[in-house]
Amino acid sequence: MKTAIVALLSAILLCASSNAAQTEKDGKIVSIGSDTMSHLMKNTAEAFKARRPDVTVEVQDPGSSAGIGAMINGQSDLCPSSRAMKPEEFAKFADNFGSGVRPIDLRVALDGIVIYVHKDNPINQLSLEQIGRIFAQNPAEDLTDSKGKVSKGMGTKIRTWGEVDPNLPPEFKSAKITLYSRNAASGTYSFFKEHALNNHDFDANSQEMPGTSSVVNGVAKDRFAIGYGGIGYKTNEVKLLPISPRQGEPAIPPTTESVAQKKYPISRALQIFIPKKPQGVLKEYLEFILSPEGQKIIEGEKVGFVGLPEALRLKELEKLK
Amino acid sequence: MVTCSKRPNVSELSTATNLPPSPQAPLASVKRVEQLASTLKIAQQKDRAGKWAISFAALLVLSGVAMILFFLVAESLPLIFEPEKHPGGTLEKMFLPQKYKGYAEPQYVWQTEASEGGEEKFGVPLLIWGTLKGAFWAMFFSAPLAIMTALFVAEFAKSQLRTVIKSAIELLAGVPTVVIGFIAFVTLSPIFNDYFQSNTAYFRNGLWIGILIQILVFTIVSAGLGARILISRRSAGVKAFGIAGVLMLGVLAGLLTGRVLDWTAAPLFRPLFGVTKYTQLNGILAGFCLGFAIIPIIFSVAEDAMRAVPHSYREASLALGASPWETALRVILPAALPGIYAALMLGLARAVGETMIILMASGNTPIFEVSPFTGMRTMSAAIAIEASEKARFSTGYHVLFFVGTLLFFMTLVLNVATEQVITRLKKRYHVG
Repeated sequence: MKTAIVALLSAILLCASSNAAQTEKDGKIVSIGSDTMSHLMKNTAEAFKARRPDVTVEVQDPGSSAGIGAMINGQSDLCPSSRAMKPEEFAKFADNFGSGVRPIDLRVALDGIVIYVHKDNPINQLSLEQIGRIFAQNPAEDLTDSKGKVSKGMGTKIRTWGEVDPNLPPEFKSAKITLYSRNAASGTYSFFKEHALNNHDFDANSQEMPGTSSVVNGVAKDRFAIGYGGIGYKTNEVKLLPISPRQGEPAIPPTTESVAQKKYPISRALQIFIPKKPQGVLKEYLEFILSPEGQKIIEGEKVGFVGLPEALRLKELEKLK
Repeated sequence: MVTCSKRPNVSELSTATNLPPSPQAPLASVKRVEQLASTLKIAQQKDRAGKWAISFAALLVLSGVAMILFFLVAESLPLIFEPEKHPGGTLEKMFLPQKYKGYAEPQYVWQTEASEGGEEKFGVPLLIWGTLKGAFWAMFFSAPLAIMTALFVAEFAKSQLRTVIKSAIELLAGVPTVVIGFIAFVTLSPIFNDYFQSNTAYFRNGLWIGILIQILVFTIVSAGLGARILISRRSAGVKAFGIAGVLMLGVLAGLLTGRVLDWTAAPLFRPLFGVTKYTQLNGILAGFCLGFAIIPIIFSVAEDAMRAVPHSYREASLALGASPWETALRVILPAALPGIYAALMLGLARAVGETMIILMASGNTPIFEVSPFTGMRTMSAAIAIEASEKARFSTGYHVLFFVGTLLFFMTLVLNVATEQVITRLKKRYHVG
């Protein structure tokens, strides 16, 4: 019994001491952030590993909002994010890293948020306004926030596919639209709420999925579904809808060109926040992402985003110097 | 503890006194006694060390629970004591319907992500409703199945079959819930969805409830009569004929019920049970899969309770001329009632807290809908989704801790109430 107790105590001590020793960080980069950018980080990290075998990039993808929180709490070396930081997040960051300090904001790729419908759906395009009317709970109302900024209403709520286009076959015409959305931990959710829903609340009936691939999966199995997500997740069972900025204007399909030229109505920059001036391997890794080789990986089939235009790429590289 | 530390003492001394007397008896026995005393001392020290080790372990567990409770409460208190810092998370805002901007009427809304200057909306009753809805359907599917299986295994199954069934159910307990959730999401939800889409008329007119009633009648008639035939002492051939007859009788009864329903209650089905809204991820799907996660818990506790019923009860009942079926139903089941009740409550507590299956299969829609064909958002799922995203000490962060505290007390009340009822039932049936 005594030996058992001694063993137990020494085991506890050992655990405690090994925990204390785990401050060594060389050769390991911790990335916590966007789920949308998960493929981007993992594939660039893999390619970087081939170049620097001694360096490991650990990629966690709980979502942009979660990632920004982790960066503020000092748990990560960098934070890939599919949305910009909010003022209150900047304030929290300054609390922890010194007043006036802001993280470096490095744009690494461009992305369009695409609208997915089932492959049998006869609808061929939507306007941005219609998307808002489909996804928002009360799209008709004007919203005034606490600072007096007004978010305009978009029109009456759309509940069936027939309200989108009255000339559909009867089966679709009377069918209720089922909504697939992301959850609140996701930057895509925030971005979509701001830009497609004009800050209106999501319909309470929208089913919240843990990741974009779950959204695509859900839409693929549900004929009357609509969902949204990053451009890189398309499968054969779903259809991407071209979007027109306003009713009556020509619809723009989500392609590399339309996103790069910012013609596609729901496009955004994907960025990486770095809490401190990057040095050593971290700097090397970031330079790699922005190098022509890194951008090629980002545009490749496995990741599927749009690379930065040349001028922007050079400008972003400048931030690392 | 006293009797425990004396044990080595007694046994060692008894062997000592049994030693044959020898010429150098006085000296040798003194030595022997000294030796024994030192052995005894070591034994007592070992005892004490062991006692300390296990008390320490118990204390650790206890302090763990205390700490969880402490942090839950401590992190939710700012909502009540610092309402000026958390205007969106006051008790009133959480528990009363609110007139939010852009909404026509005061209502509960759960929408925790707000753009700059917008308001976060924490309608906690929506989550409580979702939790109850998920737990209800889980119990609906699992409780009858688990208890009937337990009764079969405890009373009727031969020992070989019992081992097979028990280990199969233990295997089910070992399946990680995330796997069940994944199967629900990827495999089952499209099947359920296809079934609904190809039978919309049935659902819209509420005929599904009629079908459920028909199935119920069929099961009761054929299973009830069938069980009697199975446990009767007839030859296998007669039994087979009997079963076939009973099945046909069941089908007939089911069809007849359908006819009767058509004449009487069918017009009521449409307004009462008509389903117009169906989402691919919904309460039925989540409840069905959650049910599978809690069957092992209900089954094992209920089966233990039935097996613990003294044999004398069984024998007395059989000796008085009751059939095995009557004995099981009228003697074993009532006697095991406290245990069965405990089993159900344990299952319910698990269903209330279970997260992964709900997260993947319920759609996480924060809505007040009675219909099981629509989704819901449970308290545990809300915490799982949003905890990672809320900034520390923000209103949302404290609200999530508050929800966690509520969940903790819900299970606590369940457990305490269970204890009470079990004691009362035990008294009534004079068991245990």
